[in-house]
Amino acid sequence: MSQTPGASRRERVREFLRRLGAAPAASNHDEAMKQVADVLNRVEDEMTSIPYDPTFPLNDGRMYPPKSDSKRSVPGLPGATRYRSKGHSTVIGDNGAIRIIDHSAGKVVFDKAGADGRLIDQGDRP
Amino acid sequence: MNPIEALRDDLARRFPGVATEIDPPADDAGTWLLDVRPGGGRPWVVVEWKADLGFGISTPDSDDYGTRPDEVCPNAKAAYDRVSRLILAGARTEPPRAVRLAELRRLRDLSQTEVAGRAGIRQAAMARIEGRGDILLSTLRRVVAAMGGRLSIRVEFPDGMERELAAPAEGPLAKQGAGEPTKGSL
Repeated sequence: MSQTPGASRRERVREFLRRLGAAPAASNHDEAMKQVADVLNRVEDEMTSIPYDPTFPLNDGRMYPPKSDSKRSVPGLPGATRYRSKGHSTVIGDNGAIRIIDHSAGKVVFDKAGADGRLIDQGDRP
Repeated sequence: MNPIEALRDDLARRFPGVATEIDPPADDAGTWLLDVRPGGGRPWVVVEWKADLGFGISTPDSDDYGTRPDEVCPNAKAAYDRVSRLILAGARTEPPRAVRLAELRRLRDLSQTEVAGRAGIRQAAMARIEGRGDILLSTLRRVVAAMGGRLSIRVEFPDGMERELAAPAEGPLAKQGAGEPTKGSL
């Protein structure tokens, strides 16, 4: 894909989700977290001129991967961890499944199974 | 009760019809979130709080994946005042990051030639304008208008007061020949 510096955030979100969906399924939590971070950072590096500055406290226009201090438990799903940002939750399964919830729209916008073929809410099923 | 829980209670008392919900972190030292949904078509407000960072305030949309707070308030009183104003006005927060003129043009999917043509200047002049560190307000207004926008200048004070500044060219200074450039000068 050609690089598009200055692309809108909508285009970048779409590209992030497209690449995340196309990436190989992750097999555990840490692998899935790394995949989310790597794909997102690569999209932002390629499609914007906004430098990566994780210490800047305000919205600089760049999208950043989930941080450990935003971790939440998921009631009823002990094998899943939710990472909340202001507009979304990224839910990561112990099996590497990834789900992204858009809280403004109140819906799941991305759902990918882990390497075992199970989605977030299928993680504990036999 | 921590400061964001107190903020939630204060907002619920003042705005009983507004839905407020705390989204607590797994670790109390993590980042807390408060969702404030005024309803009636008014934007959803999200408050983030962490003891060492203060209160972050945003009105996110679907494209705000992983972005930081639009605004930061140093204490609960300032956060309460700001969120109250957003609820009452049905207003949105805005990211603080400034963009350079060239980036703004690209965000609008316009070429230098297109903007120059609309502004009545040459493409080479447009390139020079984008490269300048200092631009006349009148020139900036013309270029922004050529992109389809309207230039405004907002002044923010530490106590939260905000005002849009009337551009000098719209006031008495403009009548004193304050420097509207001619086509030739560009």
